[in-house]
Amino acid sequence: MDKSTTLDDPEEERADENSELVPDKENQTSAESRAESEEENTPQETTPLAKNPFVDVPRGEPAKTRPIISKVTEPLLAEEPHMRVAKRCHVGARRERNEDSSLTLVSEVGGHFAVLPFGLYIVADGMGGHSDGHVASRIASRTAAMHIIHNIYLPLLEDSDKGFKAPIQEVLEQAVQKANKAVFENDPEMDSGTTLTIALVLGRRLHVAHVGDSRLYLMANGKFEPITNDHSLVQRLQDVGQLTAEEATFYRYGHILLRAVGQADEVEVDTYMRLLPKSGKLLMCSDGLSGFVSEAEMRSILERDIPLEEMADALFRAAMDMGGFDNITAVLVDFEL
Amino acid sequence: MGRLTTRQLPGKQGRKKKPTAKIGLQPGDMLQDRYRIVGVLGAGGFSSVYQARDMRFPNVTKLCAIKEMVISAPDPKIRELTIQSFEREASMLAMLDHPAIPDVSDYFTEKDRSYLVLDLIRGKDLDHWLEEQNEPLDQERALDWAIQLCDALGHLHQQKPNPIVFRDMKPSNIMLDQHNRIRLIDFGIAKIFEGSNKGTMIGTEGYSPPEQYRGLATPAGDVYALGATLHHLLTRQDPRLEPPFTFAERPIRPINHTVSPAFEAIIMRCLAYDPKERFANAFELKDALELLSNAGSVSREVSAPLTSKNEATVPEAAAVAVASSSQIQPLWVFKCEDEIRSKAAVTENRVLISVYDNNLYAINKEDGQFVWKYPTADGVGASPCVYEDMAFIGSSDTIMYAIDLRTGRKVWHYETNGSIYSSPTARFEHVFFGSDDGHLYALNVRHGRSAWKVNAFSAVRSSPYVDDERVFFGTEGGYIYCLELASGKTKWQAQARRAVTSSPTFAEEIVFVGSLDGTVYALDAATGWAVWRFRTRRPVISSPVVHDGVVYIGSSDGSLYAIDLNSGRQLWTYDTDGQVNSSPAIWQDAVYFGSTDGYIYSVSCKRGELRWRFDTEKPVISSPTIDEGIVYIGSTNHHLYALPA
Repeated sequence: MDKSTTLDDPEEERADENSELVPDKENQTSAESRAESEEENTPQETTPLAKNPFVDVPRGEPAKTRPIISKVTEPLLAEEPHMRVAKRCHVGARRERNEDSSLTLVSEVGGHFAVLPFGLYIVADGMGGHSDGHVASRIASRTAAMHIIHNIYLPLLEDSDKGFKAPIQEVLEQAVQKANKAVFENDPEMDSGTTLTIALVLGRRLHVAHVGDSRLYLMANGKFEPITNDHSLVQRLQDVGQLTAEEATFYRYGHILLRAVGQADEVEVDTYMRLLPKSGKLLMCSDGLSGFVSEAEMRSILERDIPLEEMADALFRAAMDMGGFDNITAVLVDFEL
Repeated sequence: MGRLTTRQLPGKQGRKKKPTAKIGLQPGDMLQDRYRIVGVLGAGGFSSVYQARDMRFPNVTKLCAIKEMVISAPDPKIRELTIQSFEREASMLAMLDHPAIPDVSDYFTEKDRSYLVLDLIRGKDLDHWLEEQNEPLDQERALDWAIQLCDALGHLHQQKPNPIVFRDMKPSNIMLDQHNRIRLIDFGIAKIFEGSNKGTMIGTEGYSPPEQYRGLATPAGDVYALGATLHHLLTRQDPRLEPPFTFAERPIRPINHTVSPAFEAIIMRCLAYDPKERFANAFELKDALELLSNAGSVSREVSAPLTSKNEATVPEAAAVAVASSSQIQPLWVFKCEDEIRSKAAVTENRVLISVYDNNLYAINKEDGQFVWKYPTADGVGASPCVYEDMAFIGSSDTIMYAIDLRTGRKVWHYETNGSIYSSPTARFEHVFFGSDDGHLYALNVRHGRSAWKVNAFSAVRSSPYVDDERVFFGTEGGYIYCLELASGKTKWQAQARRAVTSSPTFAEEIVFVGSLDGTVYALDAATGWAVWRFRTRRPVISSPVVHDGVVYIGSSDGSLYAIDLNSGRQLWTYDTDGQVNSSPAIWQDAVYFGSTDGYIYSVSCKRGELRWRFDTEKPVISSPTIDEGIVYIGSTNHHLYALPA
C-alpha cells in the first residue's frame, strides 16, 4: 500500500501555480476564494466525474451535499442486477431413487434502497450402504439453508446497522456443521451421509462452503473454472501424482469419498470466497453429471447461445446419454451483478 | 445398495459401525472333526477369526486361531479360482519359518468358506496398545519394534521365486506378545476373497500406499505401510482420520521430541508417493534403522535442543543458526534524541522520520546524514506522509503540520482539539487524518483548508485508507467507518469489540483491519458486513498488509500471522519473544516487521521461515518502510536503521 502515490491526474499540473501557499489557517478565507476561482478556469471542470472527487465542487455549495457517484441516476446501468436459475434434479436412468437434493433461493428487491443481490444455491448428494441417502441429502440441504436464511438473509432485510452480524464465512461453516450434526444424529449407525456444496452470492461476492465431490464451476470471461476441490480418493490420488485425469474417469474407486457430511460429530469444511465478474454463469452439479460428462463438454454446453432452460436440459441429456447411471443434478445460474 | 460409500470409520466419538457380516460359527461348532470353536477373536466384512481347540490333542488344551474367509463369488468358475489361489498362498505361508510370523499348521475349505489354522498368539495388538497409552512411543522402542518388523517383512520379501507381500501392515495386525516381542498376525490372503465388490476398499485406508489403489502390491508398498504405522505410533495421529497420503505434511518431530531428524527422515522416505523413492524392501530399511540404532546416543544429542520451545517452528530454529544478526550490516544508522515508534516516509532522496523528541527529521537517503528537522511542540508518535513537495505530520501538540520537503519550513498548520496520533494519508490533493478530539479531517494539501470534518464520536488514532470513492478508518470506540470521499458522509460503520487503532488496508473490495479485541476483521467494502474474522490471542495494534492473496498482520500475542485472504484461514505464524505491534511490510518474497523482543525480522512470505533478524536491543514498535531493497526502520533505542532487505 503506497499511500503517497499520486494518480495521473491533470489536477496535479496546477501544483506549480499554487506554489505560493498561504501558510496559516487565519488566512484561509482568502486562499479559499482564490483557489476556487482557479478551479473554475481549469479545463478539469468540464471533465465529468474526474478521478479526484474534490475537483469540481460547485462554489457556495458545501461539499457535503454533493454525491460523487450516484448509482441511481447513472444512465449507463441499463440492466438491473439479476440472477436467473435453471435446474434439473433427476433420478437418472438406472437408480430407483433420487438421493440428490437441491435448493435454490434468489431474492430480488428493487427500488432506491435496493437490497444486495442474494442468491443461495445448494446441492447435496446423499449416499449410504443400505440406508437413506435421500434422507441425508434432504436434511443437510434444508438445515443449512435455514441457518443461512436466518443469519444472513433475514438480517439483510432487517436493514439495520445495529447489532452484530456474524461474518459470512462463519455462518456458512456453521450451516455445514449444523447439517452434519443433523444427519449424524438422524442416523446413529453412521451408514448414511451426503455431500454438501453451498454457493451464496451476496452482492458481487461469491461465498462457498463445500464437503464431498459435488462441484461448483464458474463460467465467465471465456473461462470455465472449477471452484471446488473434490474430497475423493480419486482426486487425492491425482494430487499425489498416482493417477492421471484420464485414468481417473474410469477408476474403479471413483465413488469413494474422503469427507462427507453426517459421518462424525464434526466435519472439516472448505470455505472460500471471491469477487464475481459483472456477468457470468455458475454451474453446480452432483457427480451424476460431472462423473460422466467431461468438463470440455459441460463447457461447450455453457458456451452455446441458447436459453438457460435449454442449457440445463442439454446438461441433463448429456449425462443421460452416458447411461444416466446416477442421479443427475445441475443448477445453472446466469448472473448480471 | 447406494452408490457412494465413504470410508467407514469409527467417528471421533469412537462409535463403530456394526460389522455387517454374519458370524458363521458358534462356540461348540466343529471344523474338520478336529477344531472345536471356543470363541470369536474378530470379525470383518469378508473374514472372521476364531479361537479354537485342536481336538487332536484330547488330553491337553491346545488352542489355535482359525481364520475364516467367505467365498462370495457366485460364479462357480471364479469360486474355483479363488479356492485355488487360497490354497497356493496357504501352502506358501505354511512354508515360512520366522519367529515373528505365526506358523500355519493347516488349511481347508468347507462349503463356501476357506479356513487357515494358525498359532494362537497371546498379547495385545498395537491398536489396543495405542489406546492404552497416553504418551507417544519413544524413538528407542520404535526403533526396536521397527527392526523386528523389518526382519519379519524381510523374510517375506526374500521368498523365491516371488517375494511375498504382506499388503496389510497396520497397528491392528501387529501383536505384542507376552514376552514383549513383535508378531505379525494377519496376511493379505484375505484379499483373494474380496474381489471387486463395489464400495469396498483394498488395503486399509490410511496405511496403504497410493499405488495399492491401482492394484499394485510390492515390497515397497509394505515399506510404505510400515512407515505409516511408525508415523501413527510416534505421533498418535490416526491416519484413518487424516486425508490419505498426507504424512509428509505432518512432521513427527514437532509432536514427538524423542525422534531424531535422522529417524524422521527414514520414516518420511518410507512414505514417499513414488515407490522408487522408498527403500526397495524391508531389508534395505532394516539396514538404515540398524545404522541409526547403533549411533543411537549421537542422534539423541542432536534432537535434545529441540525439546525446549517453539516446536512448530523447527525450520526457523535451524535457519537462525545460518542467518544470525551479525550477518546483517546496516548501510547507515541515524541517531535521534528519543524513541522512534513511527514508520518512515521515503522520497526520491530523503527519509523522513518522526521521533518522540518532538521533531520530524529529514535524512539523506544515501548516507543517513541529517538534512533538516522540524520541531513540533510535543512528542510525535504518528508517521509522516509525503505528497509531492510536501510532508505532513501530526503531533501530540494537537496540530497537523504541512512542511516544505526541500527547506523543512512550515507551509501551513491546522489545529485540532486533541492530540494527533493518526498518521495522515494524502490523496486527491487532500490530507486525511484523525485526532483524539474524535474527528476525521480532510484538508486541502495546498492551504490546509478543511474540505470536511466528520465526528466519529471517539478518538481516531488509526490512519485512514483512501480509495477512489471512500475513506476507511477505525476509532478508539471500536468502530470501523466508511465515509464517502467527497462529502464525508457515513456509508456504513461496523463494530469491533474494542478499540480499532490498527489502520485498515484494502484489497479485492474487502477492508482488513485489526482490533484491540484480538481479532483481524475482513469487511465487505460495500456493506461493512464481515466476510470473516480471525482471532489472535491478544490485542492487535499492528496494521495489515495484503500481498498475493495473503493478509499479513502482527499481534501483541507475539506472532506475525499470514492469513489466506479468501478463506480467512491461517497459513502460518511466526512467533517472536515479544509483541508484534509493528506493521509488516513486503519486499519481494519476504515480510519485514519488528517485535518488542528487540529484533527486526525478515521472514519468507511463502512459509514464514526466518531469513534474518537484526538485534536493536530495545523494543521495535516502528514499522518498516522498504524502498529499492532497503528497509528503513526505527527502534526505541533512538536509532533509525537502513538495512539491506
